[in-house]
Amino acid sequence: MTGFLLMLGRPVVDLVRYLGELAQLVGDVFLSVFRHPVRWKLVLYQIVNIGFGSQLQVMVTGAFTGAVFAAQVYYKFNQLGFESVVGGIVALALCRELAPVLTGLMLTSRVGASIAAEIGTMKVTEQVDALRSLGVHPVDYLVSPRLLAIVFSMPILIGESILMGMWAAKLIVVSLYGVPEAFYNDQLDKNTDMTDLMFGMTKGVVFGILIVLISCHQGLKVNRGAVGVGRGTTAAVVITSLSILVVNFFLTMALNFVWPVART
Amino acid sequence: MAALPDNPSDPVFIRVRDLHKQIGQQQILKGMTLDIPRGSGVAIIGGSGTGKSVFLKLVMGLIRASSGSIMVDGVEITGLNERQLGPHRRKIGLLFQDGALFDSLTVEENVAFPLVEAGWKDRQKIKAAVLETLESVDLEEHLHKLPSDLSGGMRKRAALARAIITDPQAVFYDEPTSGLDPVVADSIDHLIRRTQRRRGITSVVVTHDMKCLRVVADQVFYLREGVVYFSGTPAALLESADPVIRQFVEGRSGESS
Repeated sequence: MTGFLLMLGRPVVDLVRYLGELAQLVGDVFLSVFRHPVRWKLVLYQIVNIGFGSQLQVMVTGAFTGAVFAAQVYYKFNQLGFESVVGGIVALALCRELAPVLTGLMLTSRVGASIAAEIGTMKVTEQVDALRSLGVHPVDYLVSPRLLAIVFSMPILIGESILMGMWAAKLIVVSLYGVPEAFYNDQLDKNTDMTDLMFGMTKGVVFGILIVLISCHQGLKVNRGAVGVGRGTTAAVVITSLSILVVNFFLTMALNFVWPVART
Repeated sequence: MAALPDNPSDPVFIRVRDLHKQIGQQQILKGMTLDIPRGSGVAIIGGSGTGKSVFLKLVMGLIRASSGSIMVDGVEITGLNERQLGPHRRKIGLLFQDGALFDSLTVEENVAFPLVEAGWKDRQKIKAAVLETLESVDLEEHLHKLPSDLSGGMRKRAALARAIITDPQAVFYDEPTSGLDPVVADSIDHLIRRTQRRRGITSVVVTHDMKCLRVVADQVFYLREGVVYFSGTPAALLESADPVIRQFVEGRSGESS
């Protein structure tokens, strides 16, 4: 019986402990950003690393997602005679779901893994302790600059992803399938507005915060040498990816009250 | 620039009372008590796993004590949180066993790091201070190298330069000569002593190298089973007739081949 309860209770205790540690990190980051001097040089470095360095990946993802989604939607809508609506549908899906979620997942693999591995390696080689021994709070130096960098970078990356997706969708629907451009643009205007862009960018910022917080937390709690770094990195990618998908649902429900889909 | 003492009249810089530390199921320190005088050279010796490095980390506030008291420069540090420990840590330089240099920064950037963090803005002044400190550890020609391009001895010298550049009141050395050849180890030993005497700082060296302790220490603490087993001068330790100490000093395992 005790064994059964332990089996049942341990994951719950682990989850509560994990959420507690994450909440503590959020508190530390909040204090760090609002009550202590921000290291803007590091923020700029991280903007280049996280934001600038992710552009190609994000744009390629956006472009091909837009192209594939447009092709799929066109096949069905063409049967129904609604092919001119494809642009609006694709833009709506890109702004509200595809661009933020896929950009979040792509950045999890590129940025999240890199953050967890870098901080984890610093932890096992005592570089984090060296920071602390020099009177520098690790959150101030390692977490806050990355968090600010991703908060500044995410809206731009999401915007780029949406633009590339819409450009590729138009290329497919107008140039390849021959839908008149005027119809396509008209439906695009009718079905989307700036709130859809705000919707996606807000999601992107939240996902960015999740990526940095979860990855930094995994990096900072690494122990047991190289094996620990590997496990921490894997855990960072898995937990962040799942969190993005789960949080996306709740965020969609909440943001639909703030920015409902435009009526045509 | 030097960290000013909070309690300069107190001849004791570090006062430890009944210090306990448990890690997992293992009780590492079991009531350690010692005083480290201000401005002295102290060596902490003992077998592997006796808690020497743990002691240094406890005094730096890098890990938390299970119970007991640690007073550094008149301030009780066991109850301080991570942010409150910042000013305390800046009074002490710590040389990690493997140097723990920031591997994305050059030697120059590593050594300048504490100055930049202390708010120094003038690049010329920073550069001059870095050069002066690197000269004192004979490393001025390797400014632009990354830690990965340095030998073990050079890494320790660079880490020492980073530890002393802010003129701390004390420098802690965690096994400074481990993994080095005898010649480089000897040069590091003398560098530690020279730094301590020239700057008048307290130096605490964790080692199990008898040769090192002869050079760097005025006083030795021998840890055994989580407590201070012996306290005295290096000469008294080396001449001790206590069989436990003799076995350690002579490096006898008690096994025959």
